[in-house]
Amino acid sequence: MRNNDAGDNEGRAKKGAITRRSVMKAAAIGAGAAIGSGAVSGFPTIWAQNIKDVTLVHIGGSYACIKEIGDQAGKDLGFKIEMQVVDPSTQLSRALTQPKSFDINNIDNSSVVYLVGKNVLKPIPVKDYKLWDKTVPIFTTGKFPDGRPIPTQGLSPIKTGFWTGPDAKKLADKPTDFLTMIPSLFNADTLGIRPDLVGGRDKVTSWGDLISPKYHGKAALVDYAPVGIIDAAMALEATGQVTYVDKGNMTKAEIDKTVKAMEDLKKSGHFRSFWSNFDQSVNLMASGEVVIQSMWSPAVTAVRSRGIDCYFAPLKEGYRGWSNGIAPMAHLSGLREDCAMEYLNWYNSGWQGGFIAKQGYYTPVPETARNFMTADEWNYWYEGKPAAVDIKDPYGNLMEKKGAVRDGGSLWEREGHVAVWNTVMDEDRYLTRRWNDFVSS
Amino acid sequence: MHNTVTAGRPWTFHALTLCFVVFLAFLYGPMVVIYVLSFQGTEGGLTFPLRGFSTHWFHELIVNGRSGDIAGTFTRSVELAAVVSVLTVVMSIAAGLGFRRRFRGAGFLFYIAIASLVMPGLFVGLGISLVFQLLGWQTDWRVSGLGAQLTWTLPFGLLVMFAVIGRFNRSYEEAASDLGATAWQRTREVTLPILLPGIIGVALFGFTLSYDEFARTVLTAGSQNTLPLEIWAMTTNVTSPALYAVGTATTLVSFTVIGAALGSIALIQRRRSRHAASSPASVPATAMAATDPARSPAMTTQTKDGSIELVAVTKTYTQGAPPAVAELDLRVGHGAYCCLLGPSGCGKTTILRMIAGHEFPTSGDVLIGNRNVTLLPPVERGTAMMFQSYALFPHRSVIDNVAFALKIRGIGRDQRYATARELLEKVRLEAFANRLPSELSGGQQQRVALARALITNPRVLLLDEPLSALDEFLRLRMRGELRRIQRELGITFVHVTHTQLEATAVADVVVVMDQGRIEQAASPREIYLSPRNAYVARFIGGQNVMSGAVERVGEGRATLLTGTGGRIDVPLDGASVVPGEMLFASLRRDRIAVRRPATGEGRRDLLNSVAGEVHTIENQGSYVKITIDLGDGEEFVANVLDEDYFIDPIDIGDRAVATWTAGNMRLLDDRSAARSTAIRQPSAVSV
Amino acid sequence: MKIRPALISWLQAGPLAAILILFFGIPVLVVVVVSFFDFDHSDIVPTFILDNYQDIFTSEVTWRLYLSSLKFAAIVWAITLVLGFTLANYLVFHIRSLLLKIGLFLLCSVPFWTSTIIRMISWIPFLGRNGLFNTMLIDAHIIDKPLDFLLFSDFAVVVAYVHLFTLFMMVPIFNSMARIDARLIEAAKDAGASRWTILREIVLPLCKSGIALGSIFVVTQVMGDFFVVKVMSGGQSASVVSALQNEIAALQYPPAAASAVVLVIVVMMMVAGILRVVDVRKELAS
Repeated sequence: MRNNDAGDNEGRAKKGAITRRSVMKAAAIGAGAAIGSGAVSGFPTIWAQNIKDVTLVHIGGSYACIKEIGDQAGKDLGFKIEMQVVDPSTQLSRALTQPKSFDINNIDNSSVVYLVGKNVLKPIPVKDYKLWDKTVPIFTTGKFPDGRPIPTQGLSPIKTGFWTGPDAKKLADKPTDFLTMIPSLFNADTLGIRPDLVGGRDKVTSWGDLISPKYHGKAALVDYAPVGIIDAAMALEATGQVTYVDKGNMTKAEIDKTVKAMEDLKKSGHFRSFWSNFDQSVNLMASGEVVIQSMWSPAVTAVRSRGIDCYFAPLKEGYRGWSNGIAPMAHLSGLREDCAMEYLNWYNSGWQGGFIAKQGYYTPVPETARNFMTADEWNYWYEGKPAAVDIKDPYGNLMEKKGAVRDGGSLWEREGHVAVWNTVMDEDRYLTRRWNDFVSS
Repeated sequence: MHNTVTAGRPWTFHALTLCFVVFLAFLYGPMVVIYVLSFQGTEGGLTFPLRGFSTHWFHELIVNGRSGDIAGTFTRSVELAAVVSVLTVVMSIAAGLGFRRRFRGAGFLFYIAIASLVMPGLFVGLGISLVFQLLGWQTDWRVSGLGAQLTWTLPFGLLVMFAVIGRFNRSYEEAASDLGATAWQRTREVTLPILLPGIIGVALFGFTLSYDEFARTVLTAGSQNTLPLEIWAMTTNVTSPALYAVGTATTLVSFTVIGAALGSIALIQRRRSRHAASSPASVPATAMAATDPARSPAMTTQTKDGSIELVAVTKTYTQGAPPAVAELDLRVGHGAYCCLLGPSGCGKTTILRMIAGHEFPTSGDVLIGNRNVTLLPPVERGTAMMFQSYALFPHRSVIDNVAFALKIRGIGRDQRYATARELLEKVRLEAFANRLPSELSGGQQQRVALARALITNPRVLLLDEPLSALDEFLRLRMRGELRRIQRELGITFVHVTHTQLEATAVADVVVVMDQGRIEQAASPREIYLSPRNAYVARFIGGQNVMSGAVERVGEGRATLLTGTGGRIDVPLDGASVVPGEMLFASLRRDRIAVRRPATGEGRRDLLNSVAGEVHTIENQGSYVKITIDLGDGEEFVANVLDEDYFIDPIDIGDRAVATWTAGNMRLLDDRSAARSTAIRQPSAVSV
Repeated sequence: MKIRPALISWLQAGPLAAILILFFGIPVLVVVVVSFFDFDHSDIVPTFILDNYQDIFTSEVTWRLYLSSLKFAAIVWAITLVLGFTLANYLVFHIRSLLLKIGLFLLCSVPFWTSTIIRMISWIPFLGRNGLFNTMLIDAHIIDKPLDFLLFSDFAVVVAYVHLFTLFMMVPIFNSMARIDARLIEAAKDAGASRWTILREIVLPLCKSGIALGSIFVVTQVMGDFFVVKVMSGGQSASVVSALQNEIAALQYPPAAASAVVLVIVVMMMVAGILRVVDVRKELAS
C-alpha cells in the first residue's frame, strides 16, 4: 500500500506533522491562556506540500453542517472541507452501506449505537484532542458544573461518548481514553407555542399541555419515533396517565401504554398534524394551524424572525437534551487522517462555536467560542441576559430586537434542567412497529 | 386560449374545453400560489394577503447560495436526467424491436421489467447500495445513481415502445428493404422517423421521471447530491419561501427550455419547408435523359431476366398446422403479367412475399432469372414490391418517397429528384411532388407507390392487391394503366388479387389457387374455355358446374344421369371413364338457350337440357342473366343475348327450359366425389 | 450470412436486460435474502428466520396499511382514469390544430418539471386553515369557519396524488387514442352511433392498452408512495411504504426487506390482474 510516491509523501508528511504537533502541544501546556485569548489560532499545523490537494467530505444535518464553517476551516487549515447536507436517516444508511463516501461524520450522539461494531468510525484518543480539558463536564465527567450528575434517562453523552478500547468494538459506560466522537454542539429542546394564540407565554408551563383538551385540534408532534415517543412520554407522565421507570429506555409494556394513549388522542382529533421536517414545523406554527407542538430551537427562531410571536417554553418537568458530535471515518489513513484530526481540533477552537451560538446552539467548549462573539452576544446567548443591542444571525439578519431575553435563560438554567436525553431504545424494533401502528391508526 | 366560439362546434366541445381549463387551473393553481409567495417579504406566515414584496429569497438562493447548492445540484440533475433519457430511448427502442419476435426468455424479461417498476424506489436504492458495498465499490451518481434511475425508466420506455412499435406497419420496413436499404439505413431512414413521436415521448418521460427522482437516488448518488436530494436536505433547515423560490426558478428554467425547444423545432420546420420549395421544379431535358431509370448507372448491375420459378416450395407458419403453401411448383416467363388469383387465405400473398424475400420457404427453392435467390435479401433479387396499403412513408414527401431507393444508393439530391420526377410524370403526379402521402387520394397514393417501386428499375414487380383500396372507377382505370406500364417496361409483373375480372383483364397468365395449392395456371382464355376442375370453373365464373353418374360411354362422349333425372352428354377428349362413375363437367353460361317449355312438354328433361322455375333475372345490358332453380341446390345460370331475350321476355316464376349443344360441355378433373366437393390433387403446372 | 432471428432479438433486448439484472435483479436478490436475516439495532445477522414475515402477517397494522394504500390506489385510479381519458379525448378528437395540441400538451407537463417536494408543499398555503382557498370562501361568505378537512387529511392526499399522476394516465391514453383511425369514427357515425356510443364501443376498446399502461403507472406509484401520504396527511395517515420507510430510517433492514418483498408480490399481482384484462404485450405485438 505504501510503495508508491503518494505513500512516500504521506509518510514524510506524517513525520513532519508529529514533530509539529509535539511542538504545539508543548506550547499549549505552557500557554493555554494564549490560545484562549484568540490571538494565536495555531493553525495550520501540517505543512506538507500536497496538503492543498486534500479534500475532506463532512456530512451531517443542515443545522450543523454549514458551508461557512467548512470555508473558514479551509482558510485556516490549508486543505478543503466540503460540507454536504443530508437527512439523518440517509446519513446513517450511508455510514453503514457507503462508509467510504465521506470522511467526517457529524451525527446525533444517540445514533452512535447504530455504528457500534461496524468498524465505521475511527476511535479518537483523548490525548490527541487538545480541547478535552476545556469541554463542559457533561461530556467529560457526566456532571453539571454545579456537581450534580446529569440525568441518566435516555442516551446521555457519557453513555455514547467513549469506546472501551482502541479497537472501538463496544461503548463504555464511563469515561475512557478513546472518544467515539468530538462533541460539537448541544442544546435542550422543549415545546414551541404561539403565545398570541394560547393567551400568553405563561399559559403553557407543563409538558402535559401538549395533550390538554384546551389545544384540541391545534397540537402537533414530530413524526420521528425516537423523539416523538419521548415528547409523548413527557406529556403523559406530566398528566399522570403513564408512569415510566426510564423514559429513555422503555419496556414493551410502557411503549404499549404510551402508544395506546396517543392513539386515543389521535382518533379524537387532538393532533392537527405530525411533522417530519423543519419546514413543516415552521409552517404549522407560522400559519397558525398549530399553537403548541414539538419543535427545534431554530424553527422557533425562524417563526419569530417573520415577526410572528413564537416561544420555546421552559417547562417545569425539564428539557429533552441532545448533543451532536463529529467523528473521522475508519477508512482515513496517512495524510488524510492527520488532516481529519487537525480539523477536529480546529472545530471547537472557537470560530464554529461563535457561529452556531448565533443560531441558538451551544458549543461544548464555550470559552473558545466567546472569543468569536461580542460581549453583548455572549450575554444574550449564554448568560440569558436581555439583549443590549439588536441580535443578528451569523449572516447579519435581524433575529431579536434589543431587550429580548432568551427563552429559558442562561446556558445552565436551560441545560441544567435536562430531564431526558435523545435516545435509541433497546426495544427500538418494537417501538418502530408500534409507532407505525400509531401513525396508521 | 381556446375560447373563440366556433360555429357548429357541438356542446360537448365546450363542456370538454371547460373541463380542460378547470384541470389546468387545478394543475397550476397551487403553483401560481408559490410563484407569488416566493416574492413575499421576510415577515409574516404563509397566509394571505401577503405582507410586502421582496426578492430576498431569490437573493438568498442565487447570490448567497445559502440555502444549498441549487445551481450545482441542478446541473447535476439535468445531466443525470439527460443521460437517463438517452439511454432509456436507445435501450427501449432496441428492446421493443427485439420483442416483436417471440424469443426464449422474452416472458421472463418482461416480468422482470414489470417487477422493477413495481418495487418501491427506496428499496431498489437500498439493494443497489448493499450490492455495491459487498463488491467494495463506491456509489456514485454517474454509475449507481444512473442505474437506479434506469430500473424504472427502462420498463416504462419498454411499455411505451410496445405501444408505438406494436401499431407500426411492418410493410414500411419491407418497402425500405425492397428499395435497397440495409438494416441500418432502414432503421435510420424509416423506422426511427416513424417511431419519432414515441421516441420523443419516451425521452420526455425518462427525463421528467429521473430529473426529480428521490427515493432511488438517495442511497445511490454517492457523495454528491442531486437537486431533489438537495431540496430534501433543505427542508430540514430552510423555510418554505426559499423552497418556493427554488420552485419558481426551476419553472422559469422549464419554460425557457420548452420555449427554446419549440422555437428550434419551428425554425427547423420552416427551413425544411423553404428547402423543399426551392428544390428544382423542372429538370432540363438533357438531365432527364441521362437519368432515365432504365439507363441509370446504379441500376445496371442486375440481369434483365425476370423469369420466376418456384420449385417444390412449402411454407409452414405454425408447426403442425396445415401449410400456407404446399409443395408448389410454378414458372412465370420473363416479361409476363401473372396474376395469382384465389380467395383470401389461399396462400397467394405468401407466394408473393417469398418471391420478394420478405418470407423464406420452409422448403423448396425460388429462382429469379434462373438464379437461386431462396435466401437472398429483397434488395439482391431485383424485385420491387407494391404493398396493399402502399406503405408510403408518412413522414416523407411524395418525391422523397419515390427517390428513397436512390437516396439509399447514395445518389445526389438533384439527380435523384430528376429521376423521381420523371417517374412521377409517368404516373402523372408531377404536380404533387412536395405533398405528403396523407394529402393524396387513394389513386394518387397508389401511383406514388408504383413510381417508388419502379425507381429501382426492377426486373420483377410484385403487386399485393394493388387495386383493392380504390373505387370502382379508379380500379378500372388503374388496371389498364398497370397493363400499359408493364408492356412499356417489359418486365415481369406478379399481381395478387381475389377478383377474377381483374385477373382476366390484365394477365398473360392466371394462376388460380386454393388452400396453398395451384388449381390451374394458364392464359385467361384457356382457363375460361376449359377450366380444369369444378373449383376453377366456379371461381373463374361464367360456368355452370354439372355432375352425374356415367350411364353410357361411346363415340368419344359419355352420357351422364344427373341428380334431377336429366341426361347430359360430355365430350371425353380421350379421357377414359367407366359406367357408374361420377363425373363433373362445366358448361359456359353464354352458350345456353332458354325458352318457355313447349305445350305438353313434361317435367322430364330432354338430353342436353334442363328445366325449372326462373329464380332471378338480371339485365346486364348486352345480355340477360337468368337463374333457373333446378331443385338440386347447384346454381344454374344462362346468359342470354339481350336481343334473343327480349323477343319473348320470360319472367321470374315462369317455367323455363335451357338447352345447349354437347360440344360446349367440358369434362372436369374431379371424379367420383360427393357432389359439390371438388377433389384436389397436387398440380404441377408449367406455363 | 443469416443471423437467427431469436439471436437478433436477444441482441436488441440485451442492454436492457443487462441493466435490469445488474441494477434490479441482483439487488433484489440481496433484499430477498436480507428479509430472512435477523438484526440487532443496525446489525444484520446472517441467519435464516421467518420472524420478519411472521410479524407482517400476524400484525393487525399490516392489514390497516394495505387497506389504506389500496383505498388510495382505488380512488386515485378511478379519478385519474376519468380525468385522463376525458382530457386525452379532448386533445385528440376536439383540438384540430397540431400545434395547439402540442402546446396544450406541454402546458400540462410543465408543472412536472418542478420538484415534487415543492409541488407538494405548494398545496399547503392553498388548502391550509388560513390558506388561500379558505380565505376566499370566507370572504365570499360561503362559509364562516375555515374548512379543516382540506389539509392534513385523506382528502389532501388524494388531491395531491391526482395532481401528480393524472398526466401519467393521460399520456398513454393520448398515445393510443391518437392512433385510432379517424375513418373508424366516421364509419360509426355513418352507422348512426351517438357520441357516447362511439366513445364506448370504439374509442374505449381501442384505448385499452393505453388505459392499462396508465393504470399500471398510477397503481404502482400510489402503492409505492411514502412521501405524499406523509406530507399531505400531516402524518395522520400511513401507507405500506411510509411504514417501511420508518423501518429503514431506524436501520431495521431485515423487517423492511420483508415488507418490501410482500409489497412487491401484492403489487405484482395487481399488475398481473391488469395485464390479464388487457394483455399489453399481445395487444401491442399483434
